[in-house]
Amino acid sequence: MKENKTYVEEGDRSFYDFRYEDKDSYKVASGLTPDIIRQISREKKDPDWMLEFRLRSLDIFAKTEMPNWGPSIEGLNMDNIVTYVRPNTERMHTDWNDVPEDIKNTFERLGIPQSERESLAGVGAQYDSELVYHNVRKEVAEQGVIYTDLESALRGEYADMIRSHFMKLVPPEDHKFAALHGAVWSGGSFVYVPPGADVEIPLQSYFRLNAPGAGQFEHTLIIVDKGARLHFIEGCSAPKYNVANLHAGCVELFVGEDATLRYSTIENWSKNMYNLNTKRAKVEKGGKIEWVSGSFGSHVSYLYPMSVLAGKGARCEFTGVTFAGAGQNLDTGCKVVHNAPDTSSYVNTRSISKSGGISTFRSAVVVSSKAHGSKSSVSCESLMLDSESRSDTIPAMDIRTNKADVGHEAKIGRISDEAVFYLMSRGLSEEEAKALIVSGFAENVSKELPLEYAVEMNNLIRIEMKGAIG
Amino acid sequence: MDLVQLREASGKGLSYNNVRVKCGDKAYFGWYRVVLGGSESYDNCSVTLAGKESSFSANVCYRLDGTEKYDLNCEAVHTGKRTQSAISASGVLADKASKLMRGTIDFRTGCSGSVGNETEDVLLLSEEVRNQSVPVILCSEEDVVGNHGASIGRPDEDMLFYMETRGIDEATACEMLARAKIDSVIRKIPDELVQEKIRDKIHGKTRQKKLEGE
Repeated sequence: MKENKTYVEEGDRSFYDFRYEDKDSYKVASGLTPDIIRQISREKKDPDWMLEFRLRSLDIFAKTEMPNWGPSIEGLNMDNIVTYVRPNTERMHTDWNDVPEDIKNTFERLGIPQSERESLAGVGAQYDSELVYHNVRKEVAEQGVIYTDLESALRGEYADMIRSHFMKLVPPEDHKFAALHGAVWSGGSFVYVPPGADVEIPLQSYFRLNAPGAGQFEHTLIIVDKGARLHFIEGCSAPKYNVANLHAGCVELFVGEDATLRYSTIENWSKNMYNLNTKRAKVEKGGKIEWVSGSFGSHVSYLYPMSVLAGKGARCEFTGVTFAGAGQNLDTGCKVVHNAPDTSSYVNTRSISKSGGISTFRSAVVVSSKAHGSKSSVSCESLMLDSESRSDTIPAMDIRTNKADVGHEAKIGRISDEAVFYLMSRGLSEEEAKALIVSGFAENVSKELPLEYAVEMNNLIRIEMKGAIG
Repeated sequence: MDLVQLREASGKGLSYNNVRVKCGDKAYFGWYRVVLGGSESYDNCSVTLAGKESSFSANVCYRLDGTEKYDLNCEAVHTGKRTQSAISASGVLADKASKLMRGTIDFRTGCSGSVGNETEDVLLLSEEVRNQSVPVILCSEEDVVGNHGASIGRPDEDMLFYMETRGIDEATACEMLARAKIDSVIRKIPDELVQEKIRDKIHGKTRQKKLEGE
C-alpha cells in the first residue's frame, strides 16, 4: 500500500518571499515598556485619551496570562519583537506615483495597483506599521463613503465616532493579544458607509510586513450604517525570515440595521509568522455579516472571527478554508452569539492538512434565552493528505432556549483513490489530479470571492500542492 | 461485552460513574446508559480500541426535569487497525434542566481503515433549559472516516400540528415525542427483560410527575 502513495513536497513560495532592506526605516527598540508606548504615541501624534488607553492596555497585557489551550506560542518572545516600524516615507500618499520606489515595487509585484484599476473601489496599502497609500474612487467618495487611514480619522471630523467605537467590541481585557494590540496598534483603515449607500465593487486593504522580527498591529474599523452595503477585502503577506514575526491586528465591524457587510480575507503570511488576530462584528436588526476567510500562511494562527447578532433578524454567514502544510499549526474557526429573536447563522468550513501540518477547527455557537426563533447550522469538513499531519475538530454549542433549532455536522476523511484514478485516466498527472480535487474541496470559499481573488486562491492551493511524486 | 447502566429518577445527590475499557482484537464493547433523573450525574466512558477490528458502541439516553444536571464525557480512542466506534446520545430536557455532553472520537496514527460516528439528538421542552454539546473529532491518521451530526431544538412544528389535528394536545404530543426518543435507545438494549424493567421505571416517573402535578 505504502509504495503506491503520493508524497507531496513543499512547493515554491518564493513569489511572496521577495524582500527589501529596511535600513531606512525608523523603528522603536524591541520589547514592551511604558517608554516605548509613549514613544509610539508621540510618533503617531495621538490624542491624550489614546495615550492613556495604550498605557492601560499595556498594564492589562502584563497582568494577563498567555493562552494555554491552543497551539504553542513558546517561540514568540515579546522582548525580541519590534512593535513599531515606520517605512521610509513621511506621510501617506493618495497618488501611487508618490509612493517610494521599493515599497511601490513590493505592491506592484503583489498585483495591488493592477487590481485597483480593474476591480476595486478603493485601496489601502500598509507597509510594516504605517499606511503608505490610500485611495478611493471618485464615484464611491461621492456617495459619502469614507475610506481612510485610522490615524487621520482619529484627528479629523470623525474623531468622536472613532472614540465611541474604538476597541469597544474587542476590549483590551478580552485576551492577552487584544491588550497588546491596544497598547501598540498602528495603521489600519477606517471605513464609514452612510445610510443607504451601496458600494457595488469592493474596497481592499493590503498588509505587508517587510521588517524581520517585527510586529504588525493594524486596526480596521468599519461602520456600515442603516441599509448600506459594502464588500471589504483584506490581504496579508510577508517574506520569510528566520526570526519570529508577530501579527496581532484587530478588526471591529459595526453592521447597522438592514445593512450588509461582506468581509473577505486571503491570508498568506510567511511561515515564521505568529498570526494572533482578533476579528469581531456586531450586527443590528435585519443586518447581515458575511465572512469569507482563506488561511494559508503563518507558522501559528489563532483566528476565530466572532459575530454578535444583537438585533432581531440579524444574520451571519461564515465560509472558511484553512490549509496547513509543513511547520504550520493553524487553529481557526469562528464564534457566533445569537442574542436576539429570529437570528440565524450558517457556518461552512473546510480544512486541509499535509506534510505534518496541523489544522484545528474550533467553533462556538451560543444561543441566549432571548434568541427565540433562531436557527444555526454548522458544517465542517476536513481532508487529511497524509498520516504525518493532524486535523482536529472542536465545535461547541451552548443553547439556552427551546425555541431555537441548532444543527451541526462534521466529516473527516481522505482523497478518494477512485477520484484520483478517474482524473488520471483523463490525462492529468497525479499531482494535478490531487490539486484539482483540493481546489474543488475549497470551492465553498473560492466561489464567494471576486474572480481575481478566487484565481489567486487557487494558485495558492497549487503552490501548496506542488512537489515531486515519490 | 454489553454493559447496561441505569440512573433512576429518584436518585438524589451526586452520582459519579466512570467506565474505562480496552478492547483487544475483534472485541466488542456496548455501553447502554439510561439516565432518568438524579439531581447531579457525572458519567465518563473512555474506550480504547487497541485490537484489530475491535468495536465500540455507546447508546446514551436521558430525561431530565426540574433543576437536574447531567455531565457526560464519552471517548473512543482508535489505535488498532480497522476499528469502529459509534457514539449515539438522545435526550429530553425540560424545566430548568441542564446537560453537557463531550463526545470525542480520537483517531491515533496507525489506526488505518477505522471509522467513527457520533450523533446527538436533543429535544428541548422548556425555555429555561440549558444544553451544551462539544462533539470533538481528533485525527492524526489519513486513512479514516469520521462523522458527527447533531440536532438540537424544540419539537417539530409540523409534527405537533399533525398530532393536534388528531386530537392530541401539545403537552401530550411533547410527552409522546420524549418517550419515543428515549425508547429509540432502550429498544437497542440486547435483553428484552431489561428493556421492560426500564420502561416500567419510566412509567413510574411519569405517574409520579402526574400525581405531583395534581
